[in-house]
Amino acid sequence: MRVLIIEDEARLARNIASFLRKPGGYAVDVSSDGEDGRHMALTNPYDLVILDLMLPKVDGWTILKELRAKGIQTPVLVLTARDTTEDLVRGLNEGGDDYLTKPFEMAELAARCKALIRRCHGRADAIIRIGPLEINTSSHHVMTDGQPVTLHAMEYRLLEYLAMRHGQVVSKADIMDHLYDFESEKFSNVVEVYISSLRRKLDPDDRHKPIQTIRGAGYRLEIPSP
Amino acid sequence: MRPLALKWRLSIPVALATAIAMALMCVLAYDNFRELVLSQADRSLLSTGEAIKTIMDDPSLSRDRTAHIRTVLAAMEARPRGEEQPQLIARVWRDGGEIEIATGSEAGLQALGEKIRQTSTPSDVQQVPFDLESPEGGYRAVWMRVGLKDGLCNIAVAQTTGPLYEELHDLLQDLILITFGAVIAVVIMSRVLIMLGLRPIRQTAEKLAGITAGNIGDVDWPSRSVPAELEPFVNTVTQMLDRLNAAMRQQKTFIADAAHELRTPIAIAKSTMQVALATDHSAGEYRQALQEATDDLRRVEQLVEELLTLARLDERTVLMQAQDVDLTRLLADLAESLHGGIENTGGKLVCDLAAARVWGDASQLRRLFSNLLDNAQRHGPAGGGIRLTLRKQKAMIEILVQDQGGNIPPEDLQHLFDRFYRADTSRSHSTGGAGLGLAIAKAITLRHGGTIEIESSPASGTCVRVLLPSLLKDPV
Repeated sequence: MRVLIIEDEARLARNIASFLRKPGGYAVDVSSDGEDGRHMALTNPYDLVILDLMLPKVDGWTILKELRAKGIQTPVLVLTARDTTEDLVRGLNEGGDDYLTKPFEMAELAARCKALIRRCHGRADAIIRIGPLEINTSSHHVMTDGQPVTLHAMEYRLLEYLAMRHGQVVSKADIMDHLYDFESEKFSNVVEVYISSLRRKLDPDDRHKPIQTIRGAGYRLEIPSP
Repeated sequence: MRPLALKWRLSIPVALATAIAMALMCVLAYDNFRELVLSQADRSLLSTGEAIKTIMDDPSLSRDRTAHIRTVLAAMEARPRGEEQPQLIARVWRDGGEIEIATGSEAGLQALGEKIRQTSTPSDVQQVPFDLESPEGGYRAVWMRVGLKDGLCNIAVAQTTGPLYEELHDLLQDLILITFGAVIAVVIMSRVLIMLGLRPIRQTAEKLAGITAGNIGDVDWPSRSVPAELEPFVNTVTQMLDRLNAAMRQQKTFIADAAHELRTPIAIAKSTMQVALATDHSAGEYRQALQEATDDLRRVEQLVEELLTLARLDERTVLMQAQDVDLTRLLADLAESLHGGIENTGGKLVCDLAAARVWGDASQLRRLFSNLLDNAQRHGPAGGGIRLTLRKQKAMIEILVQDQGGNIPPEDLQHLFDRFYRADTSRSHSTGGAGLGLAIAKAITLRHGGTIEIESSPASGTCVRVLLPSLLKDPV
C-alpha cells in the first residue's frame, strides 16, 4: 500500500511518514506544497492521500475537487487544524473520506488510514481470511492452517497488497507502484524474490499453492478449489 | 415611566383636533342659523306690520280693523302641523294718543307697552327688531312708525320666540351628536390606521426575531416590501446586521486562525514525541526529538504570549506603565542588539536618529519597534539593507522602518495590520510568524495616541511609518 502525504509543515509530514512506514506499514511519499502534491496525486496510483487543507500554491479543497473531477477514487483523509462543523462538512462534501483535526494521535491516524484502505477494497473486517490463510491487517499477524507465519516487513506488505486484491491478477508494475515510494531503491527482480519466499512461508508443504503466476500478466492470490 | 402607547399618542391629539374643529363649526353653524331664523322672523314681523298699515290706511275697513288684524296675525301664526305655533301680538297707537288697537297675549302686550314707555326717542327703534322679555316667554318685536293718510301712526308687532329657539335647540342637539360621533369615529379610525401602519414594523420585528448567529448572513430584505417611511429603519437594521455579520465573520476567522496557529505546533510536537515513543531509537535520535519538541513548544509559548499581549492591549482599563521615554536611546539600543544578527545574514542596519522623547510604556515601545525591525529583516531580501529613521515633526515624532523588499500587493497591504493576517494563505510556518507582529505594533501605536501605516513599491521597498505624539512639556 502506498500513501501520499500533502502537508506543508515539513516535520509533521516527516513524522507521519516515518510512523506509517513502520515495519509492515506503507510506502509513503511526501509533498510539501499544493501544486506538487496535486501533480503527484494525479500521476501515481496511491492507495490513500493524507491531505492538509491550508497549503501553499494550491489549497486542499482545490486538490480534492480536482482529484474527484478527474475520477480518481483514492480515499482522502483530510488533516487540518480547522475544526468547525462547516469545515468538516465541506471537507466531506468535496469528496473527502475522513477528517482528522490537529493535534491528533498518531495511532488514531494510522488506524483511520488502515480502515480507509480496507474500505476502499471493499473490506470491513481487519482480518482477511482466504482459505487456510488469515491476515490480520491491524496487528500484521499472519497464520496459515492455524500456524503463525513470520514474515519480513516487505513480504508482509506484498502479501497484504495481494490479499486486498484477492482473486485479481496483479501485474509486477502494479506491485512495484504500490509497494515502493520514491525514496526506495527499486529492483524489479526483488518482487520475484519476495513472491518465492512468500510461497515458501505460506505453503511450506506445497499443498494450497496460494500465489499463482499468470504468465505475461502477473500474480494472483487465490486458493484453488480442491 | 413607560411612554404613552402610539395608538393613544395618535388618537388623542387627532380626537382633540377633531373635537375643536367640530365645536368651532357648531358655533358657526348655530350662529348663522340663529341669524337666519331671526332675520326670517324679523322679515315676517315687518311684513305683518306692513299688512297692518294697509289695513289701517284702508277706509273701507275702518269699522272692523281689529278683526282684520287678527286674521292677518292668525295667518302669520299658521305653521305645518306638528310644529309649535308662534303667538303674535300687535298694537297700534298714535303718538301721545290712546291705543287704537291691541290684540294678543296680555302679558306680551304689557311687556311691549313697558318697552314703548321706556323708549324716549321712538326713531331709535323704528324698523329695528328688538327682544322683549315677558313672564310668558321671550318675544321678538318691531316697532314701525308709518305715515297714514290721517297722520303718523305707531305699529308694533311681536312674536313669541319660543318656537324659534326650539328649532335652534334641536339643531344644537344634532350638532353635538354629530361632533361626538365624529370624534369617536376619528379615534377608532386612527387606532385602526396605527395598527395597519405598524404592521410592517411588526413583520420586521418577527423577521428580526428569527435571526440567529447561524443565519445572520442570509437575511434577505426585499426593498420593495416596506413602506417608504420604514425604509430608513429597515436600512439601518440591515446595515447593523451587515456590521454584526462582518464582526462575527472576523471573529470566526480570528478563532480559526488562532486555532490553526496554536494547533499546528502542538500537532508537530505531539507527532515527534509519538514517533519517538513508537519504536526504540538511539540517544541521539531521542535528543533530536526532544529538541524539536522544545522548539515547537517555544513557538506555542511565543504565540500564547503574543495573544495575551494583544488581549491586554485591547483591555483599555489596564493602564500603561507610562513614563518619559528617551525614544532615541531606546531605538539605538534596539538597533545595537539587532546589529549582529542582521550583519550575520549579510545585511546592514543604518540608523538616522534625531533626539526625541515620548510619553509612553518603554517595554511596549521596544516591542513595537522590535516587531517592525524583525519584520523588515524577515521580509526584506537576504543581505538587503534596513534603514531606521527618527525625525521630529511639529508635535509628532516620525519613525520610519524601511527595507528593500518591495512590492507587497495593495490587496495585502490593507490587511497587513489585521490579526493573523498572512499574505501566504497556507499559513506555513516556514514563511513567517503567526501574523500577530504588525497587529501588536498597531495596537501599541494606537495606545500611545499615534498612527501607523505601511507603503510598498518595487522601486523604494517597503516602509512602515509610525507617528507618535512628541513629549513637549511635562505630562499632566
